[in-house]
Order: sequence, then structure tokens, then C-alpha cells
Amino acid sequence: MEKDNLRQSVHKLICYMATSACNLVDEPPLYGPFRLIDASSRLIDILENEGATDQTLIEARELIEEKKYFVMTDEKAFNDFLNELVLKLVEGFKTDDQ
Amino acid sequence: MLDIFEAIKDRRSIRRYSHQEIPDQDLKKITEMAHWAPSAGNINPRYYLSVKNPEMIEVIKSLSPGMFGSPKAIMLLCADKAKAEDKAGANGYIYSIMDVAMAAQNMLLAANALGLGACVIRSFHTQAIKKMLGLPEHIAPELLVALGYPEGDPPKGLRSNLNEVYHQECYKGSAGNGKR
Repeated sequence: MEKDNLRQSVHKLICYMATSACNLVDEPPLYGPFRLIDASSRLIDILENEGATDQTLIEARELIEEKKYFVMTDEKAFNDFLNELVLKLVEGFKTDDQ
Repeated sequence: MLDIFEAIKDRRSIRRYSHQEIPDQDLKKITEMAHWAPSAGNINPRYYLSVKNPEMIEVIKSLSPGMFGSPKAIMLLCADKAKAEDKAGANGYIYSIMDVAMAAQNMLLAANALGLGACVIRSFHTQAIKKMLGLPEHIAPELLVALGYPEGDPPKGLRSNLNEVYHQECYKGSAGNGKR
């Protein structure tokens, strides 16, 4: 049953990504990065439900949800946010002895 | 209830929704308001379909990259291509899309007046939505409206200065023959 829930969640995410790819052909170019980071947030949701996430990913999702809509109001703020997100995610690669 | 000017300027695209359910009569009321929108040639080639089933909402979301949050209902606004083209020829389909857009605006304003948040969405896979919801070939899904009670305050809306877009009598700066 749990495996079935995971399969359903992943199926929906893949549907979302495939539909995005299909529609992005005729959508504003900036929607491309937007869909990618939105998919990332949705993937973190799935990982969280499976108990397979960590603090860095949770914080990354918070950042995404807080700032992703800049895409529609402030292009520079959106670009800055994308850089901030990558730098946030890099923190997850730090090893214990660093 | 907001007056019409307040409802227009107060409306925002709402993408975060609370868990509160939407009463069926409110969905019917906003649909009635959409149904009263103007229609080119009085053809009225519009159909509306509401979805409240949470599992179906999730499926529609997965096929609609432009939809965010967890709406409690989705309204699908459709154009009847066959009816529109039968009455208005080759232009019929374009008219029907305009009709749907006008209906959507009525729906958004009615939703706002009832305290509901709404977001109109065009970024979805039309054929997949048709297949999932069993629409016949001649019925084209044109817009989705996600609905729910708002969670949090959305940013204030911004518009450019009206004088930049509003022209009177002739187009300002034009060398054309607008003067009579």
C-alpha cells in the first residue's frame, strides 16, 4: 500500500514534468527554470512523506515556496533566488569533517 | 459583499488555499455569474464543469503546471467549438474563446465577492484533461479556475499608470489619420 502511494505520487510528479515539457515549447522562457524548481519542491514533498529528506532540503523547499512567484513580478529577484537556492543546496554536501 | 469597483481592484490571483471546503451553492453562484457574461452573437457556446473530488483535483494538478497550492475545487471552462462554428463560421471558435475569457472574469469577481480565492490557468494539457474528464470531441477546455479560501495575504496588485495605456480620440504619438 505504501509502495502504491509512492508510485502514485511519483507518477503525478512525472505527469507534471512531462506536461511542463510539452507546454513549455510555447510558453515564456522564464517558465522553464520556474517549472524545474517547482518540480524540485514537489519532489521534496514526496521525499518528506517517505521520511527520506533532510534539513537542507526542507529549508530549500521553504525558500522555493517563499520566492518562486518572483518569476511573475521581479525577474532580477527571481534570478537572485535561483542562485541563493543552489548555494543553499550545496550546504547539504558538506561532510562532518568540514 | 464587495461593490463592483472594490471587487475588481481587490481581486488577486490566489495560489495558496486553506482547508476550508467550498459550499456547492457558492460554486453554483459563481457559475451562474459566469453564465451571465456577454457572448458574441448571443451564441453562448460555453460549458462549465466543477471538480471537488480531491483525488481528481490532484490528477488535474499533475496535468496543469500553472496550478499551485491545494485548491478545494476546480472549475473547467469549455468552448463548444461545433456550436460556435455552426453559428459564426470560421470566426466562431475565436469568438467562443473570447466568450470563455469574459465568463472567467465574471467567475473571478464573483469568487472574490464571496470571499473565495481564485486563479485562472491556461497552462494545462488540453487533450489529457479532455480524456480524464470525458469531454466530447467538440468541447474544448480553454481555462481552469482553481478555487479555495485564501491562506495568507497575497501581494498587492500592481498596474502601470493608466495614462500610459489609455488613449482618447486617437492614439497618442501616432502619425496616423486618427484626427478627423
